[in-house]
This record gives sequence, structure tokens and C-alpha cells, in this order.
Amino acid sequence: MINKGDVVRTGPVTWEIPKTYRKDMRVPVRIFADERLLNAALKDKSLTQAVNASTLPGLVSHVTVMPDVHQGYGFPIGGVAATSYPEGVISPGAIGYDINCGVRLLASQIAYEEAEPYLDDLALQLDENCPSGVGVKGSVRLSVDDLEDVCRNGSNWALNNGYAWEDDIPSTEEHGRIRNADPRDVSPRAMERGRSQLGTLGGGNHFIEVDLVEKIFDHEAAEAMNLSEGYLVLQIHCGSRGFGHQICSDYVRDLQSAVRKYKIQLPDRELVCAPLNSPEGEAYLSAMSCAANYAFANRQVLVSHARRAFEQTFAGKVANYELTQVYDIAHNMGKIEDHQIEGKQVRVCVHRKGATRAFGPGFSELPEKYRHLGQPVLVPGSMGTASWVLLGTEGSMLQSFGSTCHGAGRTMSRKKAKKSIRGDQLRKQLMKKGIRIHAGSMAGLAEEAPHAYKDVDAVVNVVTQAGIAKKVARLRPVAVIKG
Amino acid sequence: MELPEFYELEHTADWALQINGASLSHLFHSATLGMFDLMGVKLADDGGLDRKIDLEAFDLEELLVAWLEELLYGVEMRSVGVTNLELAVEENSSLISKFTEVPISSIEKEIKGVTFHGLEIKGTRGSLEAIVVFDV
Repeated sequence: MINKGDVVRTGPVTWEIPKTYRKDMRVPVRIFADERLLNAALKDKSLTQAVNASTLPGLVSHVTVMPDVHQGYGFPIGGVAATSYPEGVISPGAIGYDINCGVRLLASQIAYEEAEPYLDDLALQLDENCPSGVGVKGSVRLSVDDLEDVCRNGSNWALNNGYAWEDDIPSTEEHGRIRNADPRDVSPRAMERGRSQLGTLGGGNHFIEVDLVEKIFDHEAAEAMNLSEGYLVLQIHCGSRGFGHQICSDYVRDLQSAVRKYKIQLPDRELVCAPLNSPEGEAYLSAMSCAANYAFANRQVLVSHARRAFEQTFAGKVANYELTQVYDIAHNMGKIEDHQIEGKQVRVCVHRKGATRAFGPGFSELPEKYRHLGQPVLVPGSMGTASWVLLGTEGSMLQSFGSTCHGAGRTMSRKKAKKSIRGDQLRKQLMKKGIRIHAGSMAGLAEEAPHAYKDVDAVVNVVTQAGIAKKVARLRPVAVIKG
Repeated sequence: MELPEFYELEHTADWALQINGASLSHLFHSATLGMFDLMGVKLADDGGLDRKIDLEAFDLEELLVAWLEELLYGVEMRSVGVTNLELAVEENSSLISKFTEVPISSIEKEIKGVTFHGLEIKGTRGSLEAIVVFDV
């Protein structure tokens, strides 16, 4: 375990584990945290896992650790690492099983006071329209050809098949489509799993949440996003379902032999990797891109279901029940990007696992309404606490490979959380706070208790103080649907 | 004192399972029971299909991951668990299994993946152990 004495303070909310801490480190580890969040990170294996990640071949500059970091497997959740392209490595374990797990935010023109009498019905309609839970099948059944189309085209498949509005696409990271995704790099087993799960939420920490905009911090940005204080918004948090899980499992297993072939020494087998320019690395990047596109399409189909739920609940009761897309962002992904490192433009593969891309103003991919502001960043809370809308900054480009935090971050194990409260008790507690809960599993709900997570406001204060994000709005939950 | 076949360990985000066994076959059996227990799987009283699965891998850890992933695939795609499990795991990283595949009547939680994180089968003949971390 790493002790506080091993960590050097480099700024008010920045710390470093120097490269000299362990012989096999190739780069230092940079941590964004206040004193309290650092102490929390020191309690589990988060920072040991970050040090392990710093041994990956071809790393550039430093491994970044976000304030919502917690222990994962191999690579910490809340970690960012960039490897030089194309000679550095790509590691499926440093991206995770839920490839392109991410968050989508939609804005409404429905005031909370106007909606309040219908919120129970809305929660029910969302639950009924959006399939959730273990092994659940969606209403969309894909042929193999359809699935290959989803793999290649992501959100554009959804647009072509009536699940998206034109305006949704530019407000999605990469416009909802990663290029160079070739379904021939996906196993038959993954294809089989993917055919029945499009448009499903899954279980675990995934959710659909209705929030109200509690406070706006940046009025210009909020206006561009259609966010107004006191109005409802909708968040969708999910990923690539069994399709992505199978792709990661396949490649973590296959790349065990690649590590032997390329004589790569690793402190943890879950960090298995292959050079980006090797046949194994190219195949994984392509398959990962297929899963990423599947996840974009998955959230898009769920948006279509959610729009139906809003219509069923509010048609004839409010003037405008449309949901317009604010943004959709991934927080488990490997991306080929150009970054300025020590004054030079360098092409790298940025691994973000439990970390969000947070590009600053001027980024050409952004729709015009956001281009001068920076990329919207969505930071979901923990069911009973706030969520945040942020903006990417120039500081994130300089300090963290254009990345910032992705959520509150767990601080308590699932085992302890389940012992601390029963699911039905938690549901009652949240109901008393005005938060309606629909959950498929009471045990699963207890594992996700808000007190099992860090203080999301503290996390957001760190990233804004460090200058790797900027506050736009704080959201408060009023209804949560969990698998 | 006889060790429990499996028990859950503290893990901040995911699930960690300690597994014990007197032999490799027993250890793999413990992992099977433990994984289904973590998922809260309950099997139907009737129905079932006898099946066999044979696997080979580079080493025993890869074999264990492959075996558990095979079972997870059945859970997700066919909504089945296993009973009457007979396992023969050999030192050369091969596995022969016979079991009855039974429909799942209820399940609480989903496992996304079986990881290699810290996975090492340790011990001596008569007392083997490992820790398996699952992504959930």
C-alpha cells in the first residue's frame, strides 16, 4: 500500500507519486485531490493500481488520477493514461469491461412545479419503457447485418432507424460514431450477446434519473444547453451491455499471449496490452470501437424510449414535453487524440477508465453552440445527491490529457453497503427526500446507497479548483430508475 | 479446521471472492458456487439439460477465467445456472465438466466480467486458494 509520505504535494489540489517510487514506473502519477479525498484514496488499492498502470510501455508524461478515484481491477477507476501512437500499447483492462459506459443529459422545458403531480407516473412510464435488469432483452432485435451496421455507424444507425433526432448527433462525443470499427474483429459470441440487448439499461450502477436544475453557475453555458433553474432534465447512465463485456473479456484473454509474444513485463495480468501497431492491438482498437458505437446507439435508443415516456406522461398536461439533447459523453474509452506535451503536438492513445473527456474551447468537433465554451461534461452523483454539468477547459488540455472526473466515486464496498442498509429502507429514506425509486433488485439498490459514495460536491470543487473543469449547473434528483 | 469453500472479501467497487479447495477440481467448484452466490442466483425446481464442457488454456488462471466466463454466458444468453456439477481439472490446464443446466428462477445482480486482477492459484496439494475479482 502507498502511504501519504510517498506522495508529494505539488499544488493546492495536486499531488504526485514520483517515478522514483518504484523501479518499474515509466512515468510519475499525478493526483487531483484535496486532503480528504487523498486520504480516502490511500485507504484502498487505488494508488497502487495507478502506480501499476504507470509501468505500461509507451506511456507519455504521467498517469492521471481523478478525485473520484477508487480501486478497480488492474487500472484504477478514475484513471487516465496516454500512450504514444502507434508504438505504445493499448490495454483493454485500462478501458474496462463496460466499453463506452457513459452519460447522456437531456433538457426539458417542464418546470418542476408543473411536473410534480405527474412524477410518480413519469417514473413508472420510464421504468416500463426502458428495459433494465440482468440479462434483459430489448425491444429492438437486430439481425447480424443490422448489428454490423450499429458497430460501424453507432448513433447514425439510430438516426437512420428512427431512434434519434438530427440534433442529437452533433451533441454526442465523436458524433456518436468512432471510425475504423470493423465487426470482423468482434467474436461470434459477442455478436450473439449484442443482438438482443440494444436499448437496455442493464443493472449495477446504471440508471435513468430525472433531475431538476437546482442552481446555475454559468448562465451563458446553461442557455446554450437549454438548462434553466427549476426545470426538469433527464440523465441516462449505461454502456455497451453484454456486447462490450464480451469484447473486453475476449481481448483480455487473447492478449495474455500477446504480452508473452512481445515480452512485456506487467505487475498485474489485468493490465494486459499489445502495441497499437501490432495486429493484436489494431484488432482490439477496432473491436473496442464497435462496442463504443454500440453504446452510443444503446443510449440513443433509450433516449427514444424516454421521449415516449415523457409523451405518455405529459401530453396534454404541459405545453412542451420535448427532450433536447445537451450532450453524451463516454467515461470508459480508449481514444486516439492529439495533445500538446512539453510544447510538442503528440498523437496518443488516451485510456480513460472512469474519467471523462473534457476538451476546452475551440474544439472543432463540438457543435457551434458549444465551440467557444468548451465541451459539456456530465458528472452523475449517487442517486440521493447532486449531479453536475461542467465544461472542459484549457487547463484540462494542459494538465490531464483533456480529461476530468466522472462521478462521485465509491468509498464503501458493496458488501459493507449492503450490511449498512436494506434496499427497502433506503427506498423509503429517499422517498422522504422526494426521490422516487424504481429498482429491479433491492440488494442491488442497497449496494448503490448514496453513503457508499464520496461527496460529489467535493470532487467537483477539486476539478474546478485545479482548472480541469468549470461549473455550469448543479442538478438534484427527483426520480431514479435502476436495473 | 476446514476452510469455507468461498467467501466475499472487501472491494471498493467490484466483487472479490476468496475461493478454497482441496484440489484443483474442488477449487474450480468453489469458484462456481461462489460466483452464483454473489449473483444471488436461484434455480428452478424442475427442468434441466445435461451438458458437458471441455476447456483448455495456457495456464490454470486462464482456465479458471475461461470456465467462469463460460458459465456467465449461459446465465445471460439462456438464463441458466448449473447443478450436479462434476469437474476434473488437470495440472496441464485442461478441464472436463459434466453438469445439469437448470433455468434460473431469480437473479439479483449481473457480473460484467471475470478479471485477472491479482489472480493466482496458490497453495499445495490438499489446500489451494485464489482470489477472483469480478467487474460488476
